[in-house]
Amino acid sequence: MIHCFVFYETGDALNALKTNMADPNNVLQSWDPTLLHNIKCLPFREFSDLGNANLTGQLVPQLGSLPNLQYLMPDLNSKFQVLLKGTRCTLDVRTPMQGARTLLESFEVLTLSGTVPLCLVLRPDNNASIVGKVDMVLGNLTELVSLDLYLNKLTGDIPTTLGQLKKLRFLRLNNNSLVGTIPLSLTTIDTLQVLDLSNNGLVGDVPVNGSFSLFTPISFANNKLNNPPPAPPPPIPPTPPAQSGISSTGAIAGGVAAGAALLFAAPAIVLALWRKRKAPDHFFDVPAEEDPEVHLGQLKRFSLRELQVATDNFSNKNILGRGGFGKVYKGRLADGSLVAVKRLKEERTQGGELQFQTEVEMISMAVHRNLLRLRGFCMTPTERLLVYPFMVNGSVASCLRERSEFEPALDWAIRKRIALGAARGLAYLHDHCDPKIIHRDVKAANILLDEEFEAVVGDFGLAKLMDYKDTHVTTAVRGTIGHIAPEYLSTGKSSEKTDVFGYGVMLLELITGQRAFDLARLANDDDVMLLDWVKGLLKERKLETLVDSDLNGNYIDEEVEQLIQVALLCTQGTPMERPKMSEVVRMLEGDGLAERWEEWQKEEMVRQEFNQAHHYNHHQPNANWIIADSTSHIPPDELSGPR
Amino acid sequence: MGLLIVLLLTCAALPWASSDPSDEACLTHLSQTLKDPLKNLQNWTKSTFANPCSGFTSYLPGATCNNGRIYKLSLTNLSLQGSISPFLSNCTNLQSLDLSSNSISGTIPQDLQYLVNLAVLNLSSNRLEGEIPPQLTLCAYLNVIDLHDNLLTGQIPQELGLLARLSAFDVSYNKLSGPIPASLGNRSGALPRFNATSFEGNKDLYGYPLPPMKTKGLSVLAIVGIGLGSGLASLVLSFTGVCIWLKITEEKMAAEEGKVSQYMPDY
Repeated sequence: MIHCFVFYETGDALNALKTNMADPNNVLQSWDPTLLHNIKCLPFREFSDLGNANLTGQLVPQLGSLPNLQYLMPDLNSKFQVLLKGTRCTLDVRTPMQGARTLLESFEVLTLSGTVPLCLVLRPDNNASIVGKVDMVLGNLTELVSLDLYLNKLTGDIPTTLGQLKKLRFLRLNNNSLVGTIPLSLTTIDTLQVLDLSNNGLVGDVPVNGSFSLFTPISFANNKLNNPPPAPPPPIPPTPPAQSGISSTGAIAGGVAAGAALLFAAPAIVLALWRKRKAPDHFFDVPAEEDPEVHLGQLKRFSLRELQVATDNFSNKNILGRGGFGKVYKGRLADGSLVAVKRLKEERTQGGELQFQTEVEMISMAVHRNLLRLRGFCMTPTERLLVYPFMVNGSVASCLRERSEFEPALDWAIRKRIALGAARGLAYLHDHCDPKIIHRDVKAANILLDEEFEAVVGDFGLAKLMDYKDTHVTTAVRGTIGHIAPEYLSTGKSSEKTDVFGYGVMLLELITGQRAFDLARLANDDDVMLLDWVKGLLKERKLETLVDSDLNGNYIDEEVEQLIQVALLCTQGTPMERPKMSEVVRMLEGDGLAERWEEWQKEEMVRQEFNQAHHYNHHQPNANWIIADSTSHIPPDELSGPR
Repeated sequence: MGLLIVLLLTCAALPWASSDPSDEACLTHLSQTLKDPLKNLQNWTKSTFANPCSGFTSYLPGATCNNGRIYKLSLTNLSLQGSISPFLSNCTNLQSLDLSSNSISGTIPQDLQYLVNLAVLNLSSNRLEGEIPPQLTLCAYLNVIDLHDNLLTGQIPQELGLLARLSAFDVSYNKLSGPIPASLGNRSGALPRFNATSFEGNKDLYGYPLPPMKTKGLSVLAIVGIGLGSGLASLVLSFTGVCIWLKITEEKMAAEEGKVSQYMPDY
């Protein structure tokens, strides 16, 4: 790295200087006189090369002809005094200072020389020092870069005019006897780099502004200044480094994660809550749409809340049974009355509200001693409920087959009454309702018993309610196996006569206490269907085997036979030949059964003669049961065909 | 009387104070930790360390003296390597330390805090690592802190904003992170505030005068990922839980309902 420290216009002066110097270390070897003529840059690696080179000798006058020579400064011992790097000083070789001089004298010498000094160093030799005051006129040396007046015996104040030295970079006034305050004008010298005012008698405050910002107590040591070191800011205990960035990031991430987790888990939680509410009762409560005071004729419209309270929130413990239309719950209303609440299956509740209301109204029109009266209903957008009075004695089926040991069996008189009551109820449905109602699922389980063991037909009207297309042809056959009339099973077409068939089977259940369809009978090699089993026994004339053993023989044979006759009439294969329910009622009341039976026996006889022409032996109308095979429900004439 | 003698003695000693033992230790240790592959440090010898200054004359290249003590150390652009010795703090009169434009590595010694007269600290364009020592605040006269173009990490110490005389501050082009102390980026009153050029080139530095939260430890993408991931996980978990629970309760209910006789009245 080559620095150009010295610029000059003629090599003669330096050449003269070189020749005049004793140079034991050969540091001036590069000062080639020929080079010095041609180049304008004197290559010194570092200034200290010279400062430390122990050069001795006399300065030559020729150096005075170097107006632009910078940096070099002789001390009073005529040694090269190398100043700070970057300092620009003018060398005035005509004034070798010897002995003590006043500063004014020195300055006069300098100005008399006719050059404007850039650098002023006044240093005494070991024997002398400059005395006097720092003169105000120093402020006129505006080109001055360095002012070194240290280690003299200067007295007085530091002149304010020194602040005019706007190019000053070095100001060293230390080790004098200066007094007074530090002029504030000094702080305006922006270029000031080095300041030393130490070891004087200065008083007052130390300025801290402007260029003085750089200067530390070292520059002001050993004075009488108020607070020599401008008070440093109190040392702060190192606070723990702020982790806000990281922690806030973590907080954001955590918050986002938690939020998302909640957001995503919310559907599941909602689902869980919904199912929890829904699972036991499958209900949506929309009470706002309900007006419990609305009555449809005799019908009360219940609120869902009411029914929820009544059934203990549709608790499973209150389930009475399950039919084709939904579960039935036992409940107790606020007035203390017991009710059975039938909850229609969800898929059945898609119909319009108006339609449902109409149908319910229709059912409620069927009011009869032997029909289960509809007390009311409940309707929400998702639920349809029907409210019936609770029947304390259950159903015929449960009384026949699920009787506990403590309950007495249904005696014969009650069974007769049940047969008549059920027939009356069905007859009313068929004949006195407009439009007529076909039950389609007549069976012992659907004949309920009130507290007086009066038959009450239940579960009617719903088929129609559920099947809004007002035809008797349903997509699915409704009914219970063993009770379904053959033509209903084969054609899907139902009529009053299908109900008559079911009623007939129900009568047989009532008499025998058996199930209409019981696979258990297979074990005894008997018929699975009750009707076939009864017919088989009748052919063998085993009436005792046929009648329910629970009766313990307490029955009248004739009446049993009559009931069986009615049952058989009702279960004829051809719907046309079955009596109407109103006829059944009359027969049971003792009117016309014998005639009807006689007639049918004759017809059967003829038919059998016709079919088994030559195998027929003799005929005893009252002694022998002539019974067509129920399974051959296709009319015999169709089998044989006309001759 | 005694005080006077002491004063006289010190006064007598000052003019040509020979070498200072503290400076010698300072320079010796510094020369040991600094590496000078190109031999640019001429005269950095033990004999020079013992007597670096003669009054205002420095015999040591790069060192400047005042009153027999080193007050400025300027070793710039010399291809120096190695590290900065913590014993540099023995140069107690040091007012200016300029080691810029070298290849010095290691950390900035905390012990620089003992350079109580330090006014200029320029360590720019090196390979310095680690954090900016907050203890620099104890150098109460610091006017200039220039650390730009290094490999410094961590956050900018908040305390640096308390340096009343700080007029130049540059930490640009480092690997600093975290928020810019308000006391530096948004200073009030007569204190100069430092603009974005003092802080730019630090990927993870944010806050005025730089854009707020420019980049954080976790990118937005990562946060969204975490959120979605945990959300999906909780979704799966909660639905599984709900399904299992529903299954159990349904089975219980079915078992309960199974007790209901099929021969109950049908209504």
